[in-house]
Amino acid sequence: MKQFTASIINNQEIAQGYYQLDFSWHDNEEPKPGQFFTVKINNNSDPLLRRPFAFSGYDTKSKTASMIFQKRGTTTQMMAGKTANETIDIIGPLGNFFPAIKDQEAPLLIAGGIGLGPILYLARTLERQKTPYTFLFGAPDKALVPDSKWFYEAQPIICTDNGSKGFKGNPLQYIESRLQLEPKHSFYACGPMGMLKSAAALAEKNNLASYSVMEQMMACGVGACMGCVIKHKDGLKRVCVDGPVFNSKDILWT
Amino acid sequence: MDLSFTLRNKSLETAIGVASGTFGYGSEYEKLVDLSKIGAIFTKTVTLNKREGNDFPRIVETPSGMLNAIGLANVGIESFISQKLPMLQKMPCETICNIAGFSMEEYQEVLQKLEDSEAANFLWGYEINISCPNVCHGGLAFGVDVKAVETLTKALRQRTEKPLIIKLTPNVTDISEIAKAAEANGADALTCINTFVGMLIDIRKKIPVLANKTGGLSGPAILPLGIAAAYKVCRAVSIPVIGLGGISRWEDAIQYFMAGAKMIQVGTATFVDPSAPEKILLGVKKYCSENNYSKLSDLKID
Ligand SMILES: Cc1cc2nc3c(=O)[nH]c(=O)nc-3n(C[C@H](O)[C@H](O)[C@H](O)COP(=O)(O)OP(=O)(O)OC[C@H]3O[C@@H](n4cnc5c(N)ncnc54)[C@H](O)[C@@H]3O)c2cc1C
Ligand SMILES: Cc1cc2nc3c(=O)[nH]c(=O)nc-3n(C[C@H](O)[C@H](O)[C@H](O)COP(=O)(O)O)c2cc1C
Ligand code: FES
Repeated sequence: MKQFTASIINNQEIAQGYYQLDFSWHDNEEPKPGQFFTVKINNNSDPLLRRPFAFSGYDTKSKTASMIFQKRGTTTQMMAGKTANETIDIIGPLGNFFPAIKDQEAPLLIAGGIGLGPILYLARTLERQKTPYTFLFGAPDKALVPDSKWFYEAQPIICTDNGSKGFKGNPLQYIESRLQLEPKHSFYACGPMGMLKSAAALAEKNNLASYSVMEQMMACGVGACMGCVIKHKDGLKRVCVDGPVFNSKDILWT
Repeated sequence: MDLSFTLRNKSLETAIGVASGTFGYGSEYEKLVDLSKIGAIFTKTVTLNKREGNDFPRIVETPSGMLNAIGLANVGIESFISQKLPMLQKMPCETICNIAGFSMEEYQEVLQKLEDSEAANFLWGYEINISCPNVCHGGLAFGVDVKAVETLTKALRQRTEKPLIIKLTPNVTDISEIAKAAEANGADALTCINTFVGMLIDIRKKIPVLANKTGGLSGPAILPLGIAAAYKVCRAVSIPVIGLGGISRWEDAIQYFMAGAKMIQVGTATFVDPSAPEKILLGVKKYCSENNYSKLSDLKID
């Protein structure tokens, strides 16, 4: 974990309102799939707090980290306007990461919307390790599906709610209608709360291992403020240090 | 330049601390902050029993600030002594333990447990969070009631020889009255201030943003409110005042020293930039040398 000034290498809109930003990383510690970092976009007091984002990739050779973000509020609006050679203040890597895939495990990687980042990073890592996996990406409409080049070596099965591209329906409907779930299957999911909850329920029903990347508003990102808690079977847990990756069976879904 | 802060013949090397609840137990920030540059860590409020705290959402950003309703989530005094103190003792700065209770007895019990524990010997002093609701008195905070502050300060004073700092709440009619009550009953210093009550409403969901409805406002938004409170308290009492509230730049810290504070704490600004306390220290040093101040107390204005 380190605080540093990163140089932006590339920033491009990859789907409607979705951007991929590549930036220089430090020598201190390589980020792992599932981990995140926080960004302070300027020295002003508005926006005040750092914002958390997941890694969507990391290139060891060039020490370049990537993120995929959606333009939502002040920080992400300003991030969208950043160009190569500009800098941003970053702290990371933060949080835990996905557990290693076991022999004979058949992981189903499930990404919904802006939950794409950490799942894409996991898929690309597994691809390089030659570990078999199935990668599903769901979006409401094809306008929110990045061009295939942005998935690099890890091409997902595309699902859209309105059927404008790929399978008509969400990734979970795809799994239920097209795949025969077996004990070797496991879930690695990131995306909207509703999707995570359904994935957890489906995994539970079929008695499968299942992991979810959780989100919560954050102030410090390092475990100090106690602000980012979610309900866990052992009490309230901090997403920033106890997560963001949780065993979905441990979450009390509300 | 003398940047020290002294109470009861004990000195902190630098009169800059990190505020309770914003720095955990030190270890959270160890990799990001050079703790040797900080005078003291004020630990997250510890209570008698372990507390999970409030339901979420617990935090939200506001214009140039944030609201928090953490609900004093903490490990409880027993685990604090066995797990957190050994870690804190290893830090290259002093530790001031912030405590609270939900009754007079609870405050005393927490302090007594620390006094009785060998592991707590190294603590530099205590900061008493009086913004806690008094459950025996309809849940009104101790810190809004002159009588309660008198009784509490007196009771705690009898139990310790260590520096006793009372942390004032700004959510009162006249903060000077509370400050005087603490001074008259044996407080060694006053921290000025805790957070202001605030609230935001989600107009789409039509419910308060925070699960607890209200929360404490902190950050740059409260800087002028904190300076006004510190200025007033510094002129009502003669014990040292520790300025806190909205400090994110060295210029903010200088203003607290000019108001009369003898030490400052940095809170929310550390979330934004963990190196803020260190940068503030450097800026204060530079300003003082450029303006030929040899000690912090010389900065006080009329
Ligand atoms: C561990 C973690 C990883 C994340 N990874 C990504 C990512 O890879 N890509 C991405 O686009 N976003 C990610 N997010 C969400 C991202 O942090 C928010 O989109 C961002 O904070 C919005 O900032 P803003 O200033 O642009 O918007 P704001 O003006 O702060 O808010 C705009 C909207 O975003 C919501 N929001 C604000 N903060 C958060 C938050 N921490 N979590 C969820 N919603 C929030 C607000 O409720 C509001 O509706 C992640 C969040 C967490 C906690
Ligand atoms: C997330 C958070 C948690 C806090 N927890 C405590 C606490 O446990 N005890 C306490 O006395 N003050 C607590 N405070 C108040 C701070 O110590 C400080 O008084 C206040 O934030 C004002 O300073 P600032 O504007 O520099 O943050 C907390 C503040 C924040 C933001
Ligand atoms: S964001 Fe502060 S504890 Fe998680």
